[in-house]
Amino acid sequence: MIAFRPVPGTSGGRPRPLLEVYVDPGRLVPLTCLVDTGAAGIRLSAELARAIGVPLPGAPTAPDVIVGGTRSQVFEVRRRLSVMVDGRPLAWDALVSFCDPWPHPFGLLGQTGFFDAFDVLIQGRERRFELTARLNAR
Amino acid sequence: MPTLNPRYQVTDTGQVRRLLDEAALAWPELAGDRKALLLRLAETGARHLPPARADLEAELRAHGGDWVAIRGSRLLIADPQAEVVVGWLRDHGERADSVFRVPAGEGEIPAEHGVA
Repeated sequence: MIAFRPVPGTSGGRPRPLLEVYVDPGRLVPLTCLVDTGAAGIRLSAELARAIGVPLPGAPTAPDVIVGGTRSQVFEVRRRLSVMVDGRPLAWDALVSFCDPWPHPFGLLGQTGFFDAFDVLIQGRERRFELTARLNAR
Repeated sequence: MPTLNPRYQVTDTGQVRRLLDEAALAWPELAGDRKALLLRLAETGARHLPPARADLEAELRAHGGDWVAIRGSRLLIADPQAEVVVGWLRDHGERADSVFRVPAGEGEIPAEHGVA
């Protein structure tokens, strides 16, 4: 079970299902992400992609999305992602939408790429959630 | 005294006894009051804790809009550019618990429904 947490850097606020995801192969950058059933896919900051060396120029693009009232260009790149669950790394391949610009402080883990890699049990009253890896996450 | 607050039982034996005996040597004026010694030990220990989470939150709020890397309750690096934060982690061989951009304001937090 993973406890909900407030968004860091805010003054308290509602605890949310946040999870650190490693996008880089060296597991150097645990990017904070929101588990979001309303998101269509995995959406992360393009700025972070550039910082960790994900090549975006020439990557396939998807139709622009409106994020937080801002139109963002979307680059779709397949990456090896990993999370730590109960001290154990779980890795899987997913199509990631890197958005430029990305106005939110965290990434979004949505339907395609995350919810098809994990069964997610959310216990809102207890403010916790649980991930169970499906076959494509090891 | 009746109370709704949690109560804890501590037995003066084993490790607790050893700690209280040492405390009695350090603070002889409290040697006859084991309860006071226990509180003094707790207060002294609290002063040596790492910076509290609240301190980190206050520190983060001063970096609104910046990318940051944190480990435990320690702010490792903050910079407006993600590239600088990642480079710093790489160059210093540091491991972070979380990397994110500090909200510049509450308006940057998505509403209750999905946004993308």
